[in-house]
Amino acid sequence: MNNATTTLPDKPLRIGGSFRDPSGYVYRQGNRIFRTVTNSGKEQFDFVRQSGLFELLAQDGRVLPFELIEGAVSPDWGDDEAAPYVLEVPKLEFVSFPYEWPFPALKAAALLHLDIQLTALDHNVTLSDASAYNVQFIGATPIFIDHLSFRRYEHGEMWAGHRQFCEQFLVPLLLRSLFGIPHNAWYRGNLEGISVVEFSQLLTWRHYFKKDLLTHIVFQSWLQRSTRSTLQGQDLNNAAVREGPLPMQAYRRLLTGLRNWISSLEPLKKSGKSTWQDYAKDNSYQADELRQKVAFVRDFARLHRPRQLWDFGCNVGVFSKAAIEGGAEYVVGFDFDQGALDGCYAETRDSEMPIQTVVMDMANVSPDQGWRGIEREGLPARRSADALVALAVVHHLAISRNIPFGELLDWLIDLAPCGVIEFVPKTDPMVQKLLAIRVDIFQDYTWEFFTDRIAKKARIDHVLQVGKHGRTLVSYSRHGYEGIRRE
Amino acid sequence: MMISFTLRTVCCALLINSVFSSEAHAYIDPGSGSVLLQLILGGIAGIGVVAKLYWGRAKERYRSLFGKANNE
Repeated sequence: MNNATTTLPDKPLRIGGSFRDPSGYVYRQGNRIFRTVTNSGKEQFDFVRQSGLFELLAQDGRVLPFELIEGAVSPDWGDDEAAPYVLEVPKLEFVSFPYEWPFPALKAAALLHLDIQLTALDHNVTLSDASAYNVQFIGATPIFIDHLSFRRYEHGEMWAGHRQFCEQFLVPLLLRSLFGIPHNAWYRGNLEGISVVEFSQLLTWRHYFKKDLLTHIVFQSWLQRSTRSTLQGQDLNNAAVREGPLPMQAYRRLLTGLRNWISSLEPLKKSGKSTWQDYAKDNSYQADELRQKVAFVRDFARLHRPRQLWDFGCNVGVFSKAAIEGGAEYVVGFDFDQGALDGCYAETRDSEMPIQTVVMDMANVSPDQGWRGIEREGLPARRSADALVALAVVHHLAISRNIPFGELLDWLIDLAPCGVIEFVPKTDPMVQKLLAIRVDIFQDYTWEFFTDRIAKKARIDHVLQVGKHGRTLVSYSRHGYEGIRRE
Repeated sequence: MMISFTLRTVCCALLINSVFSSEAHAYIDPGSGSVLLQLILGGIAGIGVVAKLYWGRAKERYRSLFGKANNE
Protein backbone atom coordinates (compact mmCIF):
# COMPACT_ATOMS: atom_id res chain seq x y z
CA MET A 1 0.00 0.00 0.00
CA ASN A 2 3.02 2.26 -0.41
CA ASN A 3 3.14 5.39 -2.43
CA ALA A 4 5.87 5.09 -4.99
CA THR A 5 7.32 6.96 -7.88
CA THR A 6 7.52 4.40 -10.64
CA THR A 7 7.93 4.89 -14.33
CA LEU A 8 4.70 4.04 -16.08
CA PRO A 9 4.86 1.96 -19.22
CA ASP A 10 3.86 3.59 -22.50
CA LYS A 11 1.09 1.43 -23.81
CA PRO A 12 -0.14 -1.35 -21.58
CA LEU A 13 -3.11 -3.37 -22.78
CA ARG A 14 -6.41 -3.33 -20.98
CA ILE A 15 -7.31 -6.83 -19.81
CA GLY A 16 -10.26 -8.23 -21.75
CA GLY A 17 -12.35 -8.94 -18.65
CA SER A 18 -11.98 -5.42 -17.27
CA PHE A 19 -14.93 -3.38 -18.53
CA ARG A 20 -17.93 -3.72 -16.21
CA ASP A 21 -17.16 -1.22 -13.48
CA PRO A 22 -16.41 2.36 -14.58
CA SER A 23 -14.55 2.96 -11.29
CA GLY A 24 -11.35 1.70 -12.92
CA TYR A 25 -9.70 -0.79 -15.23
CA VAL A 26 -6.89 -3.33 -15.22
CA TYR A 27 -3.94 -3.17 -17.61
CA ARG A 28 -1.08 -5.50 -18.34
CA GLN A 29 2.35 -4.95 -19.80
CA GLY A 30 4.71 -7.86 -19.76
CA ASN A 31 4.98 -8.96 -16.16
CA ARG A 32 3.45 -5.81 -14.74
CA ILE A 33 -0.20 -5.38 -13.79
CA PHE A 34 -1.80 -1.99 -13.20
CA ARG A 35 -5.21 -0.99 -11.95
CA THR A 36 -6.48 2.52 -12.60
CA VAL A 37 -8.92 4.36 -10.36
CA THR A 38 -10.99 6.74 -12.47
CA ASN A 39 -12.62 9.95 -11.33
CA SER A 40 -15.90 8.11 -10.77
CA GLY A 41 -14.21 5.67 -8.40
CA LYS A 42 -11.84 8.09 -6.67
CA GLU A 43 -14.09 9.20 -3.81
CA GLN A 44 -14.97 5.66 -2.78
CA PHE A 45 -11.39 4.48 -3.14
CA ASP A 46 -10.18 7.36 -0.94
CA PHE A 47 -12.76 6.50 1.69
CA VAL A 48 -11.79 2.83 1.82
CA ARG A 49 -8.06 3.57 1.77
CA GLN A 50 -8.42 5.98 4.68
CA SER A 51 -10.44 3.40 6.62
CA GLY A 52 -7.33 1.21 6.87
CA LEU A 53 -9.21 -1.79 5.51
CA PHE A 54 -6.83 -2.46 2.61
CA GLU A 55 -3.81 -2.68 4.93
CA LEU A 56 -5.65 -4.95 7.33
CA LEU A 57 -6.84 -7.36 4.63
CA ALA A 58 -3.50 -7.33 2.79
CA GLN A 59 -1.59 -8.08 6.00
CA ASP A 60 -3.43 -11.33 6.58
CA GLY A 61 -3.26 -12.26 2.90
CA ARG A 62 -6.95 -11.88 2.11
CA VAL A 63 -6.57 -9.05 -0.39
CA LEU A 64 -3.79 -8.54 -2.94
CA PRO A 65 -1.47 -5.70 -1.84
CA PHE A 66 -0.91 -2.75 -4.15
CA GLU A 67 1.52 0.08 -4.68
CA LEU A 68 -0.03 3.45 -5.38
CA ILE A 69 1.65 5.38 -8.18
CA GLU A 70 0.94 9.09 -8.09
CA GLY A 71 0.09 10.83 -11.34
CA ALA A 72 -2.51 10.52 -14.05
CA VAL A 73 -2.60 7.85 -16.70
CA SER A 74 -0.91 8.69 -19.92
CA PRO A 75 -3.34 9.35 -22.81
CA ASP A 76 -1.45 6.67 -24.71
CA TRP A 77 -3.15 4.09 -22.55
CA GLY A 78 -6.10 4.09 -24.90
CA ASP A 79 -9.52 5.67 -25.04
CA ASP A 80 -10.15 5.43 -21.31
CA GLU A 81 -10.37 8.62 -19.30
CA ALA A 82 -7.28 9.81 -17.45
CA ALA A 83 -7.22 8.28 -14.00
CA PRO A 84 -6.20 10.10 -10.84
CA TYR A 85 -4.67 6.95 -9.38
CA VAL A 86 -2.71 4.07 -10.80
CA LEU A 87 -2.07 1.03 -8.60
CA GLU A 88 0.52 -1.59 -9.40
CA VAL A 89 -0.36 -5.04 -8.14
CA PRO A 90 1.75 -8.21 -8.07
CA LYS A 91 1.32 -10.48 -11.06
CA LEU A 92 -0.35 -13.75 -10.15
CA GLU A 93 1.43 -16.96 -10.99
CA PHE A 94 -1.55 -18.49 -12.75
CA VAL A 95 -4.95 -16.90 -13.35
CA SER A 96 -7.83 -19.35 -13.04
CA PHE A 97 -11.58 -18.99 -13.21
CA PRO A 98 -14.36 -20.44 -11.02
CA TYR A 99 -15.33 -22.97 -13.68
CA GLU A 100 -11.82 -24.38 -13.30
CA TRP A 101 -11.88 -24.73 -9.52
CA PRO A 102 -12.56 -27.95 -7.67
CA PHE A 103 -15.36 -27.90 -5.08
CA PRO A 104 -13.19 -27.13 -2.02
CA ALA A 105 -11.49 -24.24 -3.84
CA LEU A 106 -14.84 -22.69 -4.78
CA LYS A 107 -15.98 -23.18 -1.19
CA ALA A 108 -12.82 -21.49 0.15
CA ALA A 109 -13.36 -18.59 -2.27
CA ALA A 110 -17.00 -18.22 -1.14
CA LEU A 111 -16.00 -18.15 2.52
CA LEU A 112 -13.26 -15.62 1.79
CA HIS A 113 -15.78 -13.36 0.09
CA LEU A 114 -18.18 -13.52 3.05
CA ASP A 115 -15.38 -13.01 5.59
CA ILE A 116 -14.18 -9.94 3.72
CA GLN A 117 -17.74 -8.57 3.59
CA LEU A 118 -18.12 -9.03 7.34
CA THR A 119 -14.74 -7.43 8.11
CA ALA A 120 -15.51 -4.60 5.71
CA LEU A 121 -18.78 -3.81 7.50
CA ASP A 122 -16.77 -3.25 10.70
CA HIS A 123 -15.06 -0.44 8.81
CA ASN A 124 -18.29 0.96 7.40
CA VAL A 125 -17.34 -0.47 4.02
CA THR A 126 -19.14 -2.96 1.80
CA LEU A 127 -18.55 -4.71 -1.52
CA SER A 128 -20.34 -3.45 -4.59
CA ASP A 129 -20.56 -6.89 -6.18
CA ALA A 130 -19.98 -10.56 -5.43
CA SER A 131 -18.20 -11.76 -8.53
CA ALA A 132 -16.33 -15.04 -8.09
CA TYR A 133 -13.87 -13.76 -10.70
CA ASN A 134 -12.65 -11.27 -8.07
CA VAL A 135 -11.02 -14.17 -6.28
CA GLN A 136 -7.82 -15.81 -7.46
CA PHE A 137 -5.56 -18.46 -5.96
CA ILE A 138 -1.97 -18.54 -4.80
CA GLY A 139 -1.41 -22.23 -4.32
CA ALA A 140 -4.50 -23.39 -2.44
CA THR A 141 -5.07 -20.01 -0.80
CA PRO A 142 -7.79 -17.77 -2.21
CA ILE A 143 -7.07 -14.05 -2.45
CA PHE A 144 -9.35 -11.14 -3.33
CA ILE A 145 -8.00 -9.05 -6.20
CA ASP A 146 -10.51 -6.29 -6.94
CA HIS A 147 -9.74 -3.20 -4.83
CA LEU A 148 -12.46 -1.23 -6.55
CA SER A 149 -15.22 -3.53 -5.34
CA PHE A 150 -14.90 -1.87 -1.94
CA ARG A 151 -17.03 1.19 -1.22
CA ARG A 152 -18.64 3.08 1.63
CA TYR A 153 -21.53 1.28 3.35
CA GLU A 154 -24.64 3.43 3.44
CA HIS A 155 -27.07 2.99 6.29
CA GLY A 156 -29.93 0.66 5.48
CA GLU A 157 -28.69 -0.40 2.07
CA MET A 158 -29.26 -3.91 0.78
CA TRP A 159 -26.58 -6.37 -0.28
CA ALA A 160 -26.24 -5.54 -3.96
CA GLY A 161 -24.25 -8.70 -4.63
CA HIS A 162 -26.63 -11.19 -3.02
CA ARG A 163 -28.04 -12.63 -6.24
CA GLN A 164 -24.59 -12.66 -7.84
CA PHE A 165 -23.17 -14.45 -4.80
CA CYS A 166 -25.91 -17.05 -5.02
CA GLU A 167 -25.35 -17.64 -8.73
CA GLN A 168 -21.55 -17.56 -8.76
CA PHE A 169 -20.79 -19.32 -5.47
CA LEU A 170 -23.76 -20.83 -3.69
CA VAL A 171 -25.66 -22.58 -6.48
CA PRO A 172 -22.50 -24.13 -8.03
CA LEU A 173 -21.61 -25.54 -4.59
CA LEU A 174 -25.15 -26.83 -4.05
CA LEU A 175 -25.10 -28.61 -7.39
CA ARG A 176 -22.35 -30.90 -6.15
CA SER A 177 -23.48 -30.95 -2.53
CA LEU A 178 -27.12 -31.84 -3.21
CA PHE A 179 -26.88 -33.75 -6.47
CA GLY A 180 -23.25 -34.84 -6.79
CA ILE A 181 -22.90 -32.92 -10.07
CA PRO A 182 -19.70 -30.87 -10.50
CA HIS A 183 -20.41 -27.22 -11.31
CA ASN A 184 -17.62 -26.80 -13.83
CA ALA A 185 -19.23 -27.65 -17.16
CA TRP A 186 -22.42 -25.69 -16.49
CA TYR A 187 -20.43 -22.73 -15.17
CA ARG A 188 -18.10 -22.73 -18.16
CA GLY A 189 -21.16 -22.59 -20.39
CA ASN A 190 -22.62 -19.69 -18.46
CA LEU A 191 -19.90 -17.38 -17.23
CA GLU A 192 -22.24 -15.37 -15.01
CA GLY A 193 -22.88 -18.44 -12.89
CA ILE A 194 -25.80 -20.82 -12.51
CA SER A 195 -29.18 -19.13 -12.42
CA VAL A 196 -31.13 -19.42 -9.16
CA VAL A 197 -34.35 -19.74 -11.17
CA GLU A 198 -33.00 -22.59 -13.31
CA PHE A 199 -31.44 -24.39 -10.35
CA SER A 200 -34.63 -24.16 -8.29
CA GLN A 201 -36.36 -26.32 -10.91
CA LEU A 202 -34.15 -29.23 -9.89
CA LEU A 203 -35.40 -29.09 -6.31
CA THR A 204 -38.16 -31.31 -4.96
CA TRP A 205 -40.51 -30.93 -1.98
CA ARG A 206 -38.02 -32.51 0.44
CA HIS A 207 -35.59 -29.63 -0.17
CA TYR A 208 -38.26 -27.18 1.03
CA PHE A 209 -37.69 -28.33 4.62
CA LYS A 210 -34.17 -26.91 4.62
CA LYS A 211 -34.39 -23.34 5.88
CA ASP A 212 -31.42 -21.88 4.00
CA LEU A 213 -32.33 -23.59 0.76
CA LEU A 214 -35.87 -22.34 1.09
CA THR A 215 -34.74 -18.78 1.76
CA HIS A 216 -31.94 -18.21 -0.70
CA ILE A 217 -33.04 -20.45 -3.53
CA VAL A 218 -36.75 -21.28 -3.42
CA PHE A 219 -38.05 -17.92 -2.19
CA GLN A 220 -35.60 -15.88 -4.21
CA SER A 221 -36.48 -17.82 -7.34
CA TRP A 222 -40.20 -17.51 -6.68
CA LEU A 223 -39.93 -13.76 -6.02
CA GLN A 224 -37.78 -13.33 -9.11
CA ARG A 225 -40.31 -15.13 -11.28
CA SER A 226 -43.22 -13.30 -9.69
CA THR A 227 -41.84 -9.97 -10.86
CA ARG A 228 -42.29 -11.29 -14.36
CA SER A 229 -45.81 -12.59 -13.83
CA THR A 230 -47.77 -11.64 -10.70
CA LEU A 231 -46.33 -8.26 -9.88
CA GLN A 232 -46.41 -5.32 -12.22
CA GLY A 233 -43.57 -2.87 -12.63
CA GLN A 234 -45.72 -0.19 -10.99
CA ASP A 235 -45.93 -2.32 -7.84
CA LEU A 236 -42.21 -2.63 -7.65
CA ASN A 237 -41.72 1.07 -8.11
CA ASN A 238 -43.87 1.65 -5.05
CA ALA A 239 -42.53 4.30 -2.68
CA ALA A 240 -42.76 1.89 0.25
CA VAL A 241 -40.42 -0.52 -1.55
CA ARG A 242 -38.00 2.31 -2.18
CA GLU A 243 -37.88 3.08 1.51
CA GLY A 244 -37.51 -0.54 2.65
CA PRO A 245 -34.13 -0.68 4.33
CA LEU A 246 -32.09 -3.69 5.36
CA PRO A 247 -30.87 -2.93 8.88
CA MET A 248 -27.17 -3.56 9.48
CA GLN A 249 -28.04 -6.35 11.91
CA ALA A 250 -30.11 -8.15 9.27
CA TYR A 251 -27.33 -7.60 6.69
CA ARG A 252 -24.84 -9.26 9.01
CA ARG A 253 -27.28 -12.07 9.76
CA LEU A 254 -27.63 -12.68 6.05
CA LEU A 255 -23.85 -12.95 5.66
CA THR A 256 -23.19 -15.06 8.75
CA GLY A 257 -26.10 -17.37 7.93
CA LEU A 258 -24.66 -18.00 4.49
CA ARG A 259 -21.21 -18.43 5.95
CA ASN A 260 -22.35 -21.08 8.42
CA TRP A 261 -24.32 -22.90 5.74
CA ILE A 262 -21.49 -22.91 3.18
CA SER A 263 -18.99 -24.07 5.83
CA SER A 264 -21.09 -27.19 6.28
CA LEU A 265 -21.39 -28.03 2.56
CA GLU A 266 -19.48 -31.06 1.30
CA PRO A 267 -19.65 -33.02 -1.97
CA LEU A 268 -22.49 -35.53 -1.97
CA LYS A 269 -21.15 -38.83 -0.61
CA LYS A 270 -23.80 -40.89 -2.37
CA SER A 271 -22.20 -40.10 -5.73
CA GLY A 272 -19.43 -42.53 -4.75
CA LYS A 273 -15.76 -42.33 -5.44
CA SER A 274 -14.66 -40.78 -8.69
CA THR A 275 -12.88 -42.80 -11.37
CA TRP A 276 -9.34 -41.74 -10.47
CA GLN A 277 -9.74 -40.84 -6.82
CA ASP A 278 -7.86 -43.90 -5.61
CA TYR A 279 -5.71 -44.25 -8.70
CA ALA A 280 -2.47 -43.54 -6.89
CA LYS A 281 -3.28 -46.38 -4.49
CA ASP A 282 -5.01 -48.84 -6.80
CA ASN A 283 -3.16 -48.68 -10.10
CA SER A 284 -1.01 -51.39 -11.53
CA TYR A 285 2.36 -50.08 -10.47
CA GLN A 286 4.04 -51.14 -7.34
CA ALA A 287 5.34 -48.93 -4.57
CA ASP A 288 8.88 -49.28 -5.89
CA GLU A 289 7.83 -48.10 -9.35
CA LEU A 290 6.11 -45.12 -7.80
CA ARG A 291 9.25 -44.27 -5.83
CA GLN A 292 11.32 -44.39 -9.03
CA LYS A 293 8.91 -42.12 -10.82
CA VAL A 294 8.83 -39.64 -7.95
CA ALA A 295 12.65 -39.61 -7.89
CA PHE A 296 12.78 -39.08 -11.68
CA VAL A 297 10.45 -36.08 -11.47
CA ARG A 298 12.34 -34.70 -8.49
CA ASP A 299 15.65 -34.98 -10.34
CA PHE A 300 14.15 -33.37 -13.43
CA ALA A 301 12.90 -30.43 -11.36
CA ARG A 302 16.28 -30.20 -9.61
CA LEU A 303 18.03 -29.98 -12.96
CA HIS A 304 15.75 -27.41 -14.59
CA ARG A 305 14.41 -25.54 -11.57
CA PRO A 306 11.39 -24.25 -13.53
CA ARG A 307 9.60 -21.17 -12.31
CA GLN A 308 6.26 -22.75 -13.21
CA LEU A 309 5.65 -26.41 -13.94
CA TRP A 310 2.39 -27.86 -15.20
CA ASP A 311 1.41 -31.32 -14.04
CA PHE A 312 -1.08 -32.85 -16.45
CA GLY A 313 -3.27 -35.56 -14.97
CA CYS A 314 -2.01 -34.51 -11.54
CA ASN A 315 -4.46 -36.78 -9.69
CA VAL A 316 -3.83 -36.31 -5.96
CA GLY A 317 -0.63 -34.39 -6.63
CA VAL A 318 2.13 -36.93 -5.91
CA PHE A 319 4.32 -35.69 -8.80
CA SER A 320 3.41 -32.03 -8.24
CA LYS A 321 4.79 -32.42 -4.75
CA ALA A 322 7.91 -34.17 -6.06
CA ALA A 323 8.49 -31.29 -8.50
CA ILE A 324 8.29 -28.73 -5.68
CA GLU A 325 10.65 -30.81 -3.56
CA GLY A 326 13.07 -30.94 -6.48
CA GLY A 327 13.11 -27.18 -7.03
CA ALA A 328 10.11 -26.10 -9.10
CA GLU A 329 8.90 -22.78 -7.72
CA TYR A 330 5.22 -23.18 -8.54
CA VAL A 331 3.14 -26.06 -9.88
CA VAL A 332 -0.25 -25.97 -11.57
CA GLY A 333 -1.88 -29.39 -11.42
CA PHE A 334 -4.54 -30.15 -14.04
CA ASP A 335 -7.03 -32.98 -13.93
CA PHE A 336 -10.67 -33.48 -14.83
CA ASP A 337 -11.39 -35.89 -12.01
CA GLN A 338 -13.21 -34.07 -9.22
CA GLY A 339 -12.60 -36.62 -6.48
CA ALA A 340 -8.85 -36.70 -7.14
CA LEU A 341 -8.63 -32.90 -7.29
CA ASP A 342 -10.60 -32.51 -4.06
CA GLY A 343 -7.90 -34.64 -2.43
CA CYS A 344 -5.09 -32.76 -4.17
CA TYR A 345 -6.51 -29.43 -3.04
CA ALA A 346 -6.86 -30.61 0.58
CA GLU A 347 -3.31 -31.97 0.55
CA THR A 348 -1.75 -28.78 -0.84
CA ARG A 349 -3.82 -26.59 1.49
CA ASP A 350 -2.62 -28.57 4.51
CA SER A 351 1.01 -28.77 3.38
CA GLU A 352 0.99 -25.12 2.18
CA MET A 353 2.93 -26.14 -0.89
CA PRO A 354 2.77 -23.73 -3.87
CA ILE A 355 0.56 -26.06 -5.89
CA GLN A 356 -2.59 -24.78 -7.61
CA THR A 357 -5.23 -27.28 -8.65
CA VAL A 358 -7.24 -26.71 -11.82
CA VAL A 359 -10.15 -28.72 -13.20
CA MET A 360 -9.43 -29.13 -16.89
CA ASP A 361 -9.76 -31.83 -19.48
CA MET A 362 -6.62 -31.88 -21.61
CA ALA A 363 -8.70 -32.87 -24.62
CA ASN A 364 -10.90 -29.82 -24.09
CA VAL A 365 -8.92 -27.05 -22.42
CA SER A 366 -10.61 -23.78 -21.45
CA PRO A 367 -11.14 -21.63 -24.54
CA ASP A 368 -11.17 -17.84 -24.93
CA GLN A 369 -14.73 -16.80 -24.17
CA GLY A 370 -17.07 -14.11 -22.90
CA TRP A 371 -17.42 -10.60 -24.28
CA ARG A 372 -15.54 -10.21 -27.60
CA GLY A 373 -14.18 -13.68 -26.98
CA ILE A 374 -11.43 -12.26 -24.76
CA GLU A 375 -13.17 -11.65 -21.44
CA ARG A 376 -11.94 -14.92 -19.96
CA GLU A 377 -8.76 -16.09 -21.59
CA GLY A 378 -8.35 -19.68 -22.60
CA LEU A 379 -5.44 -21.75 -21.39
CA PRO A 380 -3.15 -21.08 -24.40
CA ALA A 381 -3.61 -17.29 -24.10
CA ARG A 382 -2.88 -17.14 -20.38
CA ARG A 383 0.72 -18.21 -20.31
CA SER A 384 2.89 -21.15 -21.20
CA ALA A 385 4.63 -23.50 -18.82
CA ASP A 386 8.36 -23.49 -18.10
CA ALA A 387 8.22 -27.24 -17.73
CA LEU A 388 5.63 -29.98 -17.73
CA VAL A 389 5.02 -33.41 -16.32
CA ALA A 390 2.57 -35.76 -18.05
CA LEU A 391 2.72 -39.10 -16.29
CA ALA A 392 0.21 -41.88 -16.87
CA VAL A 393 -1.82 -39.59 -19.06
CA VAL A 394 -0.93 -39.78 -22.77
CA HIS A 395 -2.34 -43.31 -23.20
CA HIS A 396 -5.71 -42.13 -21.91
CA LEU A 397 -5.78 -39.25 -24.37
CA ALA A 398 -4.43 -41.24 -27.31
CA ILE A 399 -6.51 -44.38 -26.80
CA SER A 400 -9.61 -43.47 -24.77
CA ARG A 401 -10.10 -40.12 -26.49
CA ASN A 402 -8.69 -40.96 -29.95
CA ILE A 403 -6.35 -37.94 -29.90
CA PRO A 404 -3.77 -38.52 -32.68
CA PHE A 405 -0.62 -39.59 -30.85
CA GLY A 406 1.74 -37.41 -32.88
CA GLU A 407 -0.42 -34.30 -32.45
CA LEU A 408 -0.61 -34.94 -28.73
CA LEU A 409 3.18 -35.15 -28.37
CA ASP A 410 3.67 -32.02 -30.51
CA TRP A 411 1.11 -30.16 -28.40
CA LEU A 412 2.85 -31.08 -25.16
CA ILE A 413 6.30 -30.10 -26.39
CA ASP A 414 4.94 -26.80 -27.75
CA LEU A 415 3.46 -26.04 -24.32
CA ALA A 416 6.71 -26.33 -22.39
CA PRO A 417 10.37 -26.25 -23.43
CA CYS A 418 11.22 -29.17 -21.17
CA GLY A 419 9.28 -31.90 -19.51
CA VAL A 420 8.72 -35.49 -18.53
CA ILE A 421 6.30 -37.71 -20.47
CA GLU A 422 5.46 -41.28 -19.60
CA PHE A 423 4.96 -43.87 -22.32
CA VAL A 424 2.71 -46.76 -21.31
CA PRO A 425 2.99 -49.62 -23.84
CA LYS A 426 0.15 -51.79 -25.08
CA THR A 427 1.47 -54.64 -22.93
CA ASP A 428 0.59 -52.71 -19.78
CA PRO A 429 -2.58 -53.93 -18.00
CA MET A 430 -4.04 -50.43 -17.98
CA VAL A 431 -3.73 -50.04 -21.76
CA GLN A 432 -5.03 -53.57 -22.25
CA LYS A 433 -8.05 -52.59 -20.20
CA LEU A 434 -8.60 -49.55 -22.42
CA LEU A 435 -8.42 -51.75 -25.51
CA ALA A 436 -10.40 -54.66 -24.07
CA ILE A 437 -13.74 -53.90 -25.69
CA ARG A 438 -12.71 -51.92 -28.73
CA VAL A 439 -10.79 -52.37 -31.94
CA ASP A 440 -7.11 -51.41 -31.76
CA ILE A 441 -6.87 -48.71 -34.41
CA PHE A 442 -3.80 -47.17 -32.81
CA GLN A 443 -1.01 -48.35 -35.09
CA ASP A 444 1.12 -45.29 -34.26
CA TYR A 445 0.99 -46.02 -30.57
CA THR A 446 4.46 -47.56 -30.26
CA TRP A 447 7.68 -46.77 -28.43
CA GLU A 448 9.46 -46.12 -31.75
CA PHE A 449 6.84 -43.63 -32.90
CA PHE A 450 6.86 -41.98 -29.46
CA THR A 451 10.62 -41.39 -29.41
CA ASP A 452 10.87 -40.47 -33.12
CA ARG A 453 8.11 -37.89 -32.77
CA ILE A 454 9.66 -36.31 -29.68
CA ALA A 455 13.05 -36.24 -31.42
CA LYS A 456 11.60 -34.04 -34.19
CA LYS A 457 11.02 -31.20 -31.75
CA ALA A 458 13.21 -32.00 -28.78
CA ARG A 459 16.22 -33.81 -27.44
CA ILE A 460 15.60 -36.81 -25.23
CA ASP A 461 17.65 -36.22 -22.10
CA HIS A 462 16.88 -39.15 -19.83
CA VAL A 463 14.99 -42.41 -20.13
CA LEU A 464 13.86 -44.62 -17.27
CA GLN A 465 11.90 -47.83 -17.57
CA VAL A 466 9.91 -48.70 -14.48
CA GLY A 467 8.24 -51.99 -13.65
CA LYS A 468 7.82 -55.17 -15.61
CA HIS A 469 5.26 -53.94 -18.15
CA GLY A 470 7.54 -51.49 -19.93
CA ARG A 471 6.25 -48.17 -18.66
CA THR A 472 8.95 -45.65 -19.55
CA LEU A 473 9.61 -42.09 -18.48
CA VAL A 474 11.31 -39.72 -20.90
CA SER A 475 12.56 -36.24 -20.14
CA TYR A 476 13.03 -33.88 -23.06
CA SER A 477 14.43 -30.44 -23.84
CA ARG A 478 13.03 -28.65 -26.85
CA HIS A 479 15.52 -27.95 -29.66
CA GLY A 480 17.09 -24.55 -29.16
CA TYR A 481 16.08 -24.38 -25.53
CA GLU A 482 18.94 -22.92 -23.53
CA GLY A 483 17.12 -22.11 -20.36
CA ILE A 484 18.27 -24.95 -18.18
CA ARG A 485 19.44 -23.63 -14.86
CA ARG A 486 21.98 -26.16 -13.70
CA GLU A 487 23.18 -26.35 -10.14
CA MET B 1 -48.59 -7.23 -24.62
CA MET B 2 -45.22 -5.96 -25.78
CA ILE B 3 -45.90 -2.49 -24.34
CA SER B 4 -46.88 -4.03 -21.00
CA PHE B 5 -43.72 -6.14 -20.98
CA THR B 6 -41.56 -3.11 -21.77
CA LEU B 7 -43.30 -1.13 -19.04
CA ARG B 8 -42.62 -3.86 -16.52
CA THR B 9 -38.99 -4.04 -17.52
CA VAL B 10 -38.55 -0.28 -17.24
CA CYS B 11 -40.29 -0.19 -13.88
CA CYS B 12 -38.18 -3.07 -12.58
CA ALA B 13 -35.09 -1.13 -13.58
CA LEU B 14 -36.45 1.94 -11.80
CA LEU B 15 -37.07 -0.14 -8.69
CA ILE B 16 -33.56 -1.44 -8.67
CA ASN B 17 -32.15 2.04 -9.07
CA SER B 18 -34.37 3.43 -6.38
CA VAL B 19 -33.83 0.72 -3.78
CA PHE B 20 -30.13 1.31 -3.72
CA SER B 21 -29.40 4.66 -2.25
CA SER B 22 -26.06 4.89 -4.04
CA GLU B 23 -26.94 4.46 -7.70
CA ALA B 24 -23.45 5.09 -9.04
CA HIS B 25 -22.08 2.03 -7.27
CA ALA B 26 -24.83 -0.49 -7.97
CA TYR B 27 -23.31 -1.22 -11.34
CA ILE B 28 -24.57 -4.80 -11.31
CA ASP B 29 -28.19 -5.87 -11.48
CA PRO B 30 -29.08 -6.99 -7.96
CA GLY B 31 -32.10 -8.95 -9.24
CA SER B 32 -35.68 -8.20 -8.25
CA GLY B 33 -36.00 -11.58 -6.46
CA SER B 34 -33.04 -10.75 -4.23
CA VAL B 35 -34.34 -7.23 -3.55
CA LEU B 36 -37.77 -8.52 -2.46
CA LEU B 37 -36.18 -11.30 -0.42
CA GLN B 38 -33.98 -8.82 1.43
CA LEU B 39 -37.01 -6.64 2.13
CA ILE B 40 -38.58 -9.65 3.84
CA LEU B 41 -35.39 -10.54 5.70
CA GLY B 42 -35.09 -6.91 6.77
CA GLY B 43 -37.95 -7.23 9.24
CA ILE B 44 -41.63 -6.62 9.78
CA ALA B 45 -41.73 -3.35 7.84
CA GLY B 46 -40.28 -5.01 4.75
CA ILE B 47 -42.58 -8.02 5.06
CA GLY B 48 -45.52 -5.62 5.23
CA VAL B 49 -44.36 -3.86 2.08
CA VAL B 50 -44.01 -7.09 0.13
CA ALA B 51 -47.30 -8.52 1.46
CA LYS B 52 -49.08 -5.31 0.47
CA LEU B 53 -47.62 -5.53 -3.03
CA TYR B 54 -48.87 -9.06 -3.59
CA TRP B 55 -52.21 -8.44 -1.85
CA GLY B 56 -52.84 -5.39 -4.02
CA ARG B 57 -52.08 -7.38 -7.14
CA ALA B 58 -54.29 -10.29 -6.04
CA LYS B 59 -57.20 -7.94 -5.41
CA GLU B 60 -56.75 -6.36 -8.80
CA ARG B 61 -56.80 -9.73 -10.50
CA TYR B 62 -59.89 -10.80 -8.62
CA ARG B 63 -61.65 -7.59 -9.61
CA SER B 64 -60.63 -7.97 -13.21
CA LEU B 65 -61.92 -11.56 -13.28
CA PHE B 66 -65.14 -10.55 -11.50
CA GLY B 67 -65.59 -7.62 -13.89
CA LYS B 68 -65.13 -9.90 -16.88
CA ALA B 69 -67.72 -12.34 -15.51
CA ASN B 70 -70.23 -9.52 -15.15
CA ASN B 71 -69.60 -8.32 -18.68
CA GLU B 72 -70.20 -11.77 -20.00
